[in-house]
Amino acid sequence: MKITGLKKEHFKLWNDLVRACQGSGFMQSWEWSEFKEAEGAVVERLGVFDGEKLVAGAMVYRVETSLGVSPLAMPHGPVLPWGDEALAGKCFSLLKARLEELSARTGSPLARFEPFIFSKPPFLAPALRSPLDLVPTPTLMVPLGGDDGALLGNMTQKGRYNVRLALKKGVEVVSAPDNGLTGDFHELFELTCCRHGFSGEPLGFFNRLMDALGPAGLARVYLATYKGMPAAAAVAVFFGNRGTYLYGGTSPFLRSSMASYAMHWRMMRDARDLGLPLYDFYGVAPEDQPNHPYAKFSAFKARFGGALVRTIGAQDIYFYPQLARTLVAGMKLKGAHV
Amino acid sequence: MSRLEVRGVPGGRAFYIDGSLQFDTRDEAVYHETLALPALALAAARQGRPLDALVLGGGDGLALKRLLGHPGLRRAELVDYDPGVLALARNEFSALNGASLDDPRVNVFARDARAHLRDSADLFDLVLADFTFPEDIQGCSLFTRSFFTSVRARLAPGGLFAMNAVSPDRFPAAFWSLYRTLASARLYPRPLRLAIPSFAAHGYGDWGMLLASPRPLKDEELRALAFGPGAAWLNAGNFRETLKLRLSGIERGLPLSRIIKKPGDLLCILNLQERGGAAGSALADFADSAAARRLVSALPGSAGLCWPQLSAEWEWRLMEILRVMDWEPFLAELEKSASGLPARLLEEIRQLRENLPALLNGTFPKGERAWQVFALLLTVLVFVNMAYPDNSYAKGSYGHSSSGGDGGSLDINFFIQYERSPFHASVFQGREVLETLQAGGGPRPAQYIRYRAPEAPLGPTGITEDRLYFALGDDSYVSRAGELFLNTGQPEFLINARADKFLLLDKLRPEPLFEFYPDQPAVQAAMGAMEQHMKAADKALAAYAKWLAWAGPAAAFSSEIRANVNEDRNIREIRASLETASRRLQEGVKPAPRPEIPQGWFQLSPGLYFTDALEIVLVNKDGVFFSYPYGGLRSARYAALPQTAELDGFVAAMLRFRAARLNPEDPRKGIFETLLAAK
Repeated sequence: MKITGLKKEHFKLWNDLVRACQGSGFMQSWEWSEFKEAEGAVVERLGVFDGEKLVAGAMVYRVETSLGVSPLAMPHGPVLPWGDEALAGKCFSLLKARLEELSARTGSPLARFEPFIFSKPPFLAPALRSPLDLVPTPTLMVPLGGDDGALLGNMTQKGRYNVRLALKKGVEVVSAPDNGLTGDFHELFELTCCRHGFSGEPLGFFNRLMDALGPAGLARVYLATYKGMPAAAAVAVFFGNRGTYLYGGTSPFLRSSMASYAMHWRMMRDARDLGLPLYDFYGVAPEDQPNHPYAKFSAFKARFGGALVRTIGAQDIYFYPQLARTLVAGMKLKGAHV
Repeated sequence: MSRLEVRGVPGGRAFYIDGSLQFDTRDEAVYHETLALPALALAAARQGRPLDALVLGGGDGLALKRLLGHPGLRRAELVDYDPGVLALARNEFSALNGASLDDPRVNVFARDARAHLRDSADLFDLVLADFTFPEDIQGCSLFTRSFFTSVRARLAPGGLFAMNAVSPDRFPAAFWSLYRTLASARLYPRPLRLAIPSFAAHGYGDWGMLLASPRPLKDEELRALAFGPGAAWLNAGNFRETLKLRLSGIERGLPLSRIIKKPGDLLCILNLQERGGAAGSALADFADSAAARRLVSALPGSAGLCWPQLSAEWEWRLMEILRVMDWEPFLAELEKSASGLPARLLEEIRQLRENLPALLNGTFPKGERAWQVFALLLTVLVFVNMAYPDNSYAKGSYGHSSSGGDGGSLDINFFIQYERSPFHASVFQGREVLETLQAGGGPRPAQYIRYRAPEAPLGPTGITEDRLYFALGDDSYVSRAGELFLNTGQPEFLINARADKFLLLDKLRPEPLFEFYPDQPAVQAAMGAMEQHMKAADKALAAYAKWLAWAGPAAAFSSEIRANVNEDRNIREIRASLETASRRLQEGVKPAPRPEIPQGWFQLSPGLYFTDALEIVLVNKDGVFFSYPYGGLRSARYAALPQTAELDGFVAAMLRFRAARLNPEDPRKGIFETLLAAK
C-alpha cells in the first residue's frame, strides 16, 4: 500500500469512495475541497492505494496564517474502510506518517480528525478530544425510508400539524441548484443573524459555495414564500448517505405561516427522492443544556422526528517536534516582551 | 435518604454525602471558620449583646462548634433534615465538633430548614446555611429568592447571614446568580473565595461563600474584623484574601447569572457548566495573567480577543489534553529545539519539567517562571485552535481576500468574539429608553438629572432635565440632550464633560459646584467610543431599514414588529445624541493651555489632586491651581478656594473612594482615612 497525492483525474474515484464511506460526509468531497480552496484554505488531497485500488485517504485542510500554527483539519475525515479495522489501521498509519511530514513542512503542530463514527477504534486511541468541533455533535438525524405518510408519521404531532398547516396556508417552496435564489436566501439569513446576534457569512461566500457545489447537484438553495413574501430560506447539501440542512434563515414576522415546516418537508422529500436514507439537521443543543444558544432551534428541529446522534467529535493528534518549536518561538517572543 | 460515608485518609478522615465530599478533617477548619467566624464577629460587633444563632444544615456540628467558642453566644438552634448526619455528629464526629450538639445552649431539630423558618417566629443575630451542593430540585429549593426572603425575616435588625455557595470558578454563573438572588431578597452580599486543598483535590475548584446582611456590610466593618486566637486558620490576612475574586470568573459568570426564583432556575444554570476533573483553576489563572494578555495583545488579529469566551468546556478539554499528553517526548523535543538558545530558556524548560505535576493539578504558584512557560503552552494551544476558522456552526467564511479586505486576514469567529453592538437589546425596544445597558452587565435604570448648563439663562427656564440613557462604557454616558457625562466613582457626583471644562454636578443641585480643567484622555476615549457606537448604530439601522421596509406595516398587529419599530426609532435617537455630543466636543471652545501637574501629585478625580505637600488642590477650567482647605490642610502655595459644604462633600467622597482602592501598605490610604475621620 502507498499514500500519494490525488490529482484531478482521481476526482470520480475519490468521490465514489467518500460516498460509499458511512463514516464520512460532504466536507471530504472533491467539490467541497475546491470550495474551501476558493475560500483561501490550502488543501492536501491524499489517497491510499492498495495496488491500483483507492481504499482510503483524506482531504486535509489548513489555513496559513501569520501565526504559523494552523491545525491540519479533516472534517468528516479521514476516509477509511472503518468496517475493516485492520485495514483501516494500516491506512491510518500511512496517513499519519504523511501528516507528520506535512507538519514538519508547514509548521502545523496538530492534526484534527473528525470522522462521522460513534466509537473510537484502537488505532485512534492516542488522539485526544479536541477543544472544539468542526462538525456539530450531537446532531439530529431523520431516517427518510418510506413514503410521505411514513415521514409524517415519524414526526411529532405538532410537527405534522405545522407541516399541514403551512401547506394549507399556501406556503410555496422553490429551490435552485445555482445562485438564482442566493440573494433572497441571504437577505433572510442576514436578518436572522442580526436578530440573534450571530456572525454570518457574506453573500459572496454563498455564491461561491453554490458555484462549487451546485452544478454537480450537491447543494440547493430553498426559499419558502407566503403570499409572495420570503418567509424562510435554506441551503442544503446532498451527498453520500444524507441530505444536510447547512444554513437557514427565517422571517419572524411570518412565523405563523409555518413556512419553515413546509421548507424542511420539501428538503426531506428531495433528499429521499435522490435516494438518500438520512436527513441531517446539522447540530442540535445537547439534551442537558436547556440554555444552550441553539436550544430553541433544536426544539423546532425535534418536531421532525428522528434521533439524536453523537459522534466521537473532533480528535487531535499532536506533533511534538512542531509543538515544541512553536512553544520555543513563543518563549523567545515572551522574552522580547517581558 | 442520603448515603453517608466516612472514609479514612492519610492523617485524617473525610466525610461524604452521596459521594460528595463534605469535609476532610485535615482542612475542615478552612471551610468552617470562613463560614462561621466572620458572620459571628460582625454580629458581635454590631449587636454588642449576647447573640442568638441559627444553623441551617451543617448537621455535622463543625460550624456550630465555631459559634459556641464565642463567649457572647447565648443560644443556638441547629436544623438538619438528615437524622443520620445528626447521629454521626453525636457519635463519630463528637470529638471533632467538641460535642457541640449536646451543648446546653443548643437546640437541635431534625427537620426541613424551610419548614423551620416558616414555623418559627424567633429572631436571630446570625444565620448560617451549610447545605450540600445542590444537585436536584429539592437541593436547589434552599437557594431561591423566597428561601432567602424567609431567612431575612428571621434576622434581627443588622443580622448576618453566611452561606456555603458553589465554586465561583467552576460554576461562575451559579455563584453570581446566588449573589444576585441574595441582593434581590435585600440581603446585601459580599462574595468570598477560598482555596480548600481537599476540595481542589476532588476537582471542586476554589470554593465560594457569601456573607450577607439586610444592612449592607461596610469595608470598614470587614477591615476591623479580628478572629482571636481560637481560630486555627482564619486571620485578618486570610480573610482579606477571601474577599478577592478572580476577574475571569466574574466576567464569565455575571452575564449569565440571573435571579433564582424557582429551584429549576438554579439547576439549569448549574447544568450550563461541564463538571470536569481536578482542573479548571489553572486556565482561569492563565486567562487572568498579565503575561498571557500581553502575549496575546502582541499577536496579530487579537484586537477583539475576549477571554471570557473560553467556556468551561473549553477549559476542561484543554486541561484534559495537557493531562493526558505524552510529556516525555514533548519535553525531549522541547529541549532539542531550545538547544543553542540562551541559558534562561533552557532553565525555564528544566523548571517546567520539574514542576509538571503541580502545574497540571493547578497547585503551582502563579507567576513563577515554570508557570509562565506552562501558560505559554496554553496560549500556543489556544492559538492553534484559533487559527482554523471553521467551527460547528460557522462553516467557514475566511473574510475572502478577493473582497478587497486587508490581504486575506482571518475572520476568526469562534471562541473570540469581536465587540458586539450594544443594540438589539430589550432596553431599546420600549417606547422610550428608560434603562442603560452597562458594559458586561445587565440593564440598569437610566439616571434622570437636572443641571444648569453654563450658557443657560438664570432662573428655572435654564435648567435642563436630561436622562443618561446610553452607556458608552462603565464610567461614561451620553445623555438624551447630547452631553457627555463621566462617573466620579461616587454616585452622588457626576461630571458633565465639555471641550473646555468639566462641570462638577451634585445630583441634588442643578448648579455646577466647580468648573474643572478638562481631562483630555477621558474626552478622547469617550469620543472614540462614540464613533464606534455610531458605526454600530448605522449598521443596525441599515438592517432595520431593510427589514421594516416590508415588515413595518405589520407593526399594528405584531408585538415583535412593534419592538423592532421602537428599536429602530430609539437607535436613531441615540445616534443623534451621540452625534450631538461628539460634535460639541469637537467643535466646542478649545481648553486653556494645559497646566503642568507636578510629579508626585495624586489624582483624586479629574482636576482634583492630593499633593506631595499633603494638601488638596483643584485645577480650574483656566488651568489655575487653587488650594482647598479640607480638614485644615492648607499650604500657602496657591490661592485658597473658599470652603463650602458641597465641595467638602465632594472632596470627602473622592478621598473615601480612593482610600478604598489603595493598598493597605500605601501611606496615602492612612492619610485619607485620618482626614476623613477628623472631618
